[in-house]
Amino acid sequence: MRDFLAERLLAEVMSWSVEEVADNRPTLQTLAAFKYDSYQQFSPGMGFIESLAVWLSHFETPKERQQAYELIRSHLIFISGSELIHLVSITYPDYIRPLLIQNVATKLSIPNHAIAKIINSTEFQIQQRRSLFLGLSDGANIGVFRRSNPQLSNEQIRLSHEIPGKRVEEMLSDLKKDLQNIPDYQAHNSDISFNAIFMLDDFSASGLSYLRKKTDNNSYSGKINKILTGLLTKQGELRTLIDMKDLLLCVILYVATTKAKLHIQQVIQEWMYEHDISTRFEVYVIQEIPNEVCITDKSDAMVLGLLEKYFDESIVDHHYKQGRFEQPYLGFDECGLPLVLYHNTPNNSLPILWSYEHSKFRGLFPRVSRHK
Amino acid sequence: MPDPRNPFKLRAAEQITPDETFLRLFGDGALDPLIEINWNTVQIFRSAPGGGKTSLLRAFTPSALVTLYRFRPNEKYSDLYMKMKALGVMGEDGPNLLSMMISCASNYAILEDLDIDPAKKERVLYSLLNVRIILSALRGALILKSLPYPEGLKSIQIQSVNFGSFPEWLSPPLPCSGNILDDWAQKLEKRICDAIDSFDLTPQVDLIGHDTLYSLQLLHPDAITYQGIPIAKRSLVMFDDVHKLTERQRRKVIDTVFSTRWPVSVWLAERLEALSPNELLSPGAGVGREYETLALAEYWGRDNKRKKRFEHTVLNIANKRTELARDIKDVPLDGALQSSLNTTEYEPKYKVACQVISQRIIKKFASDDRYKSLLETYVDISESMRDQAISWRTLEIVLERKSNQIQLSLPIPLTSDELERDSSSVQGVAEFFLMEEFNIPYYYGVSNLAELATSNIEQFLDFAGDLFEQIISAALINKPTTISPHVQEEVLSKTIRRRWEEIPMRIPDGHDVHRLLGAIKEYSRTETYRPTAPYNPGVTGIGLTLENRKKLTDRSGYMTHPEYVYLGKLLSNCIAYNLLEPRLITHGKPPQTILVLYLNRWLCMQAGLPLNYGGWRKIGLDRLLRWLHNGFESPDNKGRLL
Repeated sequence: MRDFLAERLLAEVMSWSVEEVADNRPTLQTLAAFKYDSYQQFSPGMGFIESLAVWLSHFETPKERQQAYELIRSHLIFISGSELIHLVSITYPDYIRPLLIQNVATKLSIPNHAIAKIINSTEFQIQQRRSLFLGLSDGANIGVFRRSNPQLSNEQIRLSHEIPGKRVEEMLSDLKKDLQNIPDYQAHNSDISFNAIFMLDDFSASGLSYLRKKTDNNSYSGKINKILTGLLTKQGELRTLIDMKDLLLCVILYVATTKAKLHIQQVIQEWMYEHDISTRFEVYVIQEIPNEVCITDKSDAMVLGLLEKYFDESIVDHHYKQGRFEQPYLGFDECGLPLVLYHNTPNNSLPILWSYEHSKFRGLFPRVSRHK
Repeated sequence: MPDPRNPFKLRAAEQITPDETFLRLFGDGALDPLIEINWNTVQIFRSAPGGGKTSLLRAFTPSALVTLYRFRPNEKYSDLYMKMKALGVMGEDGPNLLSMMISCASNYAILEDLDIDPAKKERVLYSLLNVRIILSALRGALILKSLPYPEGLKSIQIQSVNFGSFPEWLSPPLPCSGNILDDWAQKLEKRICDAIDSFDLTPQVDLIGHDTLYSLQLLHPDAITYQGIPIAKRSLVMFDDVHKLTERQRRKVIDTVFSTRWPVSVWLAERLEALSPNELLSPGAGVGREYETLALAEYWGRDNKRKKRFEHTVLNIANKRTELARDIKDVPLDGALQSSLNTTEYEPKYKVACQVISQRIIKKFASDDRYKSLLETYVDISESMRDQAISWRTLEIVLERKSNQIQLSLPIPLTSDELERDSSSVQGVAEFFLMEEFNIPYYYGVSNLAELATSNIEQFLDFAGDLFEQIISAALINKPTTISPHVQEEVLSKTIRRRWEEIPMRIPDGHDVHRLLGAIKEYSRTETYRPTAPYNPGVTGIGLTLENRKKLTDRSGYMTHPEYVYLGKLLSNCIAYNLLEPRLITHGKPPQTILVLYLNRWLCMQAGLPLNYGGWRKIGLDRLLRWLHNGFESPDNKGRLL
């Protein structure tokens, strides 16, 4: 009955005819059942259809409502929980393991395609164990990653990149024991360290939260600044964990925009240049969001007009101003993303999608802010 | 399961759970094809996708039968229960049948990829089928006796049967209790699956396996007992989706099933796509000594009595589904679809039709001495504008026919009596032409909806589902839930457009099928709308001589005429996917057998053709090939009216 009432409300808000209801209802119900109802920040009892009806009722004219509805129908990207878990579960077998296979193939001077030979080799077992996986946030879903890859040791997977000094010693000790258990392993002191570091996280739209150079004092800040400093600089407290001579650093994001990927690549390169470090690094994005999906100042004028008219300034705080701010109605750093993650809408997305529940203009998928 | 918003969208039998919902939606009329079933003969059920095969088989599974028995006092299930009783499947104390349903869609085809010789692959196939049949039988026995799994297995006993010699690990440990047999079968199944899953392309050589479906011998009705009494009076093994096996596997299984008189009944269900072009282009009941084939669409479309029964069955299914709808109750489909035109609403159109047609007649025929006198005195005494319009259009067709006749003597004026005599056979087609020309709805009402389904239940549900969407949408916004003929046509046209556009994506060689069907439609339309309406009520198919049919299916002709073989493949695809309906008819003097390929009725609606069967035109292969490559070309300038 609740669904029925919500749909009726929606039909009234949109002034649909019988034919329009028949055209739209099946699709909306499928979208809601398949994905959108699972949005975790809906208040209890609220579903997608109700939220859509309330959201559309904010718009003053039927034409605006139709435009807003079209924006949702044709542009919205929703990453569901099961999709994200799928991305986590394929990260190692489809992205990381091929990289390790390639590394070992090079070391052994055998072709990349001799997969069975490579993975059955002692060198591969060593390489696999000498890889360290660090979660950069809760979103890294390290638990899922761990359970999806039972062939990896618990001792090489860390929930967070914060590693206390005592733990470093324990990790190296465990590494030594595990290497000695590999058949045909011949000990080398240089082996007792990690030579591949994989930093995992769920989402980035701008890349700024990972690493950026502050304009006021030219220093770096961001999630991976501390890791890079700790691992790669001479005074770094994590330096003993790694083998500098043969190190691969990898940032892996399950979902990210092309813009974020390019930013992270560029700024890491700059960081390394400034610190006089030349270590091999890669940035991988499992599900890349192309720039074309973003709403920009070159997009349809009517859509831009809608975004600007219904932009609620109460959502702006000092965190928001840290990105580009000339067109704040395009989201943080003007990313213009029409994207929702099942657990929370990022603030890089269009504000009319995520404005807080308490705001004057309540978003379709209201956001909970991490920044207080 | 919560009530669905649009119950017509519940399609695949496998997806409708639980059993009580499935049975509630299952129309008892769907069992009609089984009324005269011979349980001692292998039955092969064939249809295009959506024909209802899997639903039919599912109705005979142990859990469905037990559920039906439990719900038998309920009026929603009583008809179905009585039908099952009449088939001998249900007794006073419960189900009489122990059935095993084996889906051939479950990873049998990958056995062909194993790097072992064909004989061994065959044995692995039989081994897997045997253990799964046995496991299914044991589970079924527990369900029939309401025993829990696995504890109840100890109470089931299986008798010994002589199989001949097998290695010890392949032979079941008979006689034994159910738990021992279950354990044995599970271990063997696991062993086989582990070998397949190992990515080792040369699995263990000792996995030789069984060389026949000996489980069919094992599971005779007296073999499985509970407390000393046989579980059921009859055993039935049902193989579903046989088309999912490879061609070799399918042939082997069918040959094995035919080769021996098993003590169990065996049913095979497969899609038409499994058949060769020769088999598809040779319609008619297949009856051999050892088997009977039942093409479901052919069964329902065989004669008018069966068609009426199909209409009744699908309407019953439709009304059961509407009862299940979440948001609307007590709106039977036949009540919501208006079955007659509101002539007042269409009176202006009929009036225009009268004016246009009468002017056309006068312009063309008034100066002809044969008709001058008649036309000058012609007065239509019909009461309604609709009847008047039909009369004018009838007159026009009769005059066209008369004009076309070769005059061997002096032109004799047409009399009123002659006109009346000639009109009677033409009025039906006249009304159809009228509706098409003046955009008056024709494809509406429950009977036409059933006709559009072309004996395919899934097709009916697709059309009915979109109409029902209109009904529940109207209910949502408090509008009347009856659908006018005009809206019915609009909704159906949209559904049909979607089906048409899906053809290149869903059918093998879809683009060529699209082009060929487009040409056949266009041709049918051209022939139908000739001014003389020679093919009353219209042309809805093409005919091929048996000689031409042979050219399409003659594999040896591939070297000399590969284009014919390809054409045969396309036409076979059309039949397999329910786009063309084949019928063998006897025609002409001397009588000649013709293979007529009728357009599916929804294609007829798309082309503006009548839904009746009957009218067809003989076509040569070279012409079909020209259509395939160049599309339809209008043959001449005979002044088509439409």
